[in-house]
Amino acid sequence: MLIETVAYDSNIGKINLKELSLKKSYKNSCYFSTSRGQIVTFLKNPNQLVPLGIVVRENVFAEIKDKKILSAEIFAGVAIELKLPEKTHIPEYCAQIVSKIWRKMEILFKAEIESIIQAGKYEKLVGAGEGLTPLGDDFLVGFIAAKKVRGEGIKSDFDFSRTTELGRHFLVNAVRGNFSRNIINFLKDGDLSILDYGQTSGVATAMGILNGLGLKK
Amino acid sequence: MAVKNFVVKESYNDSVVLMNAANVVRKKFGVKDVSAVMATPQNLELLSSLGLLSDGGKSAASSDLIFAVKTNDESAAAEMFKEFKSALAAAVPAEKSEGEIKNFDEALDSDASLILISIPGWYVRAEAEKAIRKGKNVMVFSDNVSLEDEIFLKNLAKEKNVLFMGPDCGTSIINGKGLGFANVVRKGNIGIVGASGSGIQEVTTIIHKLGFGISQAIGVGGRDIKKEVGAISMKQALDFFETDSETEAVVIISKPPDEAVAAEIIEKAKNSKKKYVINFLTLELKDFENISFASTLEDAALKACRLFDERVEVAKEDVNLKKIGGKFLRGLYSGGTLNYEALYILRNFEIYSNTPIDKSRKMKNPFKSEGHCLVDMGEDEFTRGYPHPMMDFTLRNQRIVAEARNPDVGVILLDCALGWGCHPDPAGELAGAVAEAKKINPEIVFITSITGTDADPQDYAQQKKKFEDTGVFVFPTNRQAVLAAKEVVF
Repeated sequence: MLIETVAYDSNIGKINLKELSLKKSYKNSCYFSTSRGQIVTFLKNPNQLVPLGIVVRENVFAEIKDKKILSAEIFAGVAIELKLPEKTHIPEYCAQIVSKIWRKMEILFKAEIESIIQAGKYEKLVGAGEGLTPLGDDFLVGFIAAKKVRGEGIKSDFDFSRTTELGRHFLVNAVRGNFSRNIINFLKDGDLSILDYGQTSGVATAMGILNGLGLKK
Repeated sequence: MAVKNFVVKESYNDSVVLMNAANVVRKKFGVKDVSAVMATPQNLELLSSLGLLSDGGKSAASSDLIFAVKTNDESAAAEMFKEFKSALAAAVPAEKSEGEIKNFDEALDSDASLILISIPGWYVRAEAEKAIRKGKNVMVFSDNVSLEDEIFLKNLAKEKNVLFMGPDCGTSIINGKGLGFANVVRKGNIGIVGASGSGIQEVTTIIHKLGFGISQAIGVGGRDIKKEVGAISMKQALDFFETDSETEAVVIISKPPDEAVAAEIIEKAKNSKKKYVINFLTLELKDFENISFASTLEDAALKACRLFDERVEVAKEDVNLKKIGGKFLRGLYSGGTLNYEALYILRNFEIYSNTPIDKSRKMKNPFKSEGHCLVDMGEDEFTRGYPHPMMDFTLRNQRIVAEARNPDVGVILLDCALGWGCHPDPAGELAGAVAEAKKINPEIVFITSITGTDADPQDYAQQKKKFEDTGVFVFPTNRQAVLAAKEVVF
């Protein structure tokens, strides 16, 4: 199927889009796995690009989202490099807003997750908590992004098999330096639209970033 | 207490749906210990440490969903799981009804002559380009469109001879229909071109109050007057008005343009057959034969109306305000241009702002007031993660109460926009916070203007009464409200 796009992750070019099999489709996004187990996400415009994401217009999305098997060939649209900014500047009040929302948020296993973070046992976050991408993974992705921006090393002994397929996708991409547009924008200048992402995902990711930058209030 | 686990194989429900379904169960059965998580090894450990893992759950895989409950009554657990599954199933979104335009393509193919685009700025270019190429006039409500995209789209619109309004354009009134935040105003012979939304609202409502009306009000976005863009849209709008038989006078409202751009606009106006009133906010110039320069938004509206009837006067609100010295003025604005106008009117005093005219008076932290200050709460730092303060009063109301806790604050200056797109009861929202603030500090003087007309959907008289009943002094224009605040504090 020939698919007209609005924008896509430039890494899509390296992926074989033949025989994608549908994992799940939602109102605004649907994701497929490739024959090699990579996750390709189609997003309905105007959702923010994610690693191996393809943003398409609403009518195109409607055609794609129920295809069990999809052999895609994409054209048009802008190829976007989902790279981190060179410098980060998150105003203090943005950090305060994120921390405040995090504190108020009711999350399953919150106390447990917080004590894991306190103890710095980040490997234990993999696959921890609610969500298809568990909350701990979201936090960890943010944490990795922050460390990368600061040019600091991160431990690499995370066992990514301990989480869901989708959680693993974002973690693996994070380690390779590919991040969602929301994360890039938040790191750049404190753009809080990251908070709108998912019910808790965005907030957890932003908290991970603040932790990684040592900005946590 | 018994622990019961249910496993749903290969479940891919998103977290919002899962959490809502779990909440439905918690509420309906009055139980706390309900968890619905993906069965990752880590989550199994966590469940186990909380005593929520039973044998049934231990063998689940990462791609499975595990529903765990703790309850006294074992049969109730099955009921809960049933409820949970039906809540999951109920979360399927409803389809749209027939007849309305369902997607962007249908809008492009329809006979509509204007398309309003309100999506994150980053996606605007592709969509707006399509609309322009289809010969549609375009208004872009979104902000965060790159300057490069703006220039590209504006040049394309010019080439295709369609109007491009925006980006970051809050207000337009086209053929009597309001777009974005817009008031219901009389049809008339005054055309408006504005680089700012709240400026257009203020000027159009004052013109209406003075008994005159608007032909078209065209918002071109705040960056149009920068030298990089070169006022492409503003010049196009002026060309439109030049040949529009309905329009006899044109009002231009914008922050001071870059010098060369200002010269070009003035030159264009000078050569026009129409009469002009220009308000470049902080830039006041000498009048030309067919151009009057206005020092405030109120002045701009008044001068435009006086072109047709010299006797018109803006109604003055007679109120008795006591002077209180030694206290701070705090302005909490939702309209950016109104905030800027206030800063200009009070330019001889030391006033801080997040959008200062004088850069040395920039607030260190817009969330924390210092000295006398006027805060534009429609700026990015406040609207990220929240809707615009003309629609959502959460942040402004919190701030009003916070200011009242500071005994050094003497006057709180507000604005209140009515019209389509704005909150259905803005005065009611603000009055609630004012009442709370007054409980903390009854001495604080509250002053506001209402940007609205008697034809607006919110009912102007009722809105005014809500303020007055709470002890807020209400003025018909921002300028008058600012001058009243000045009398009290300085």
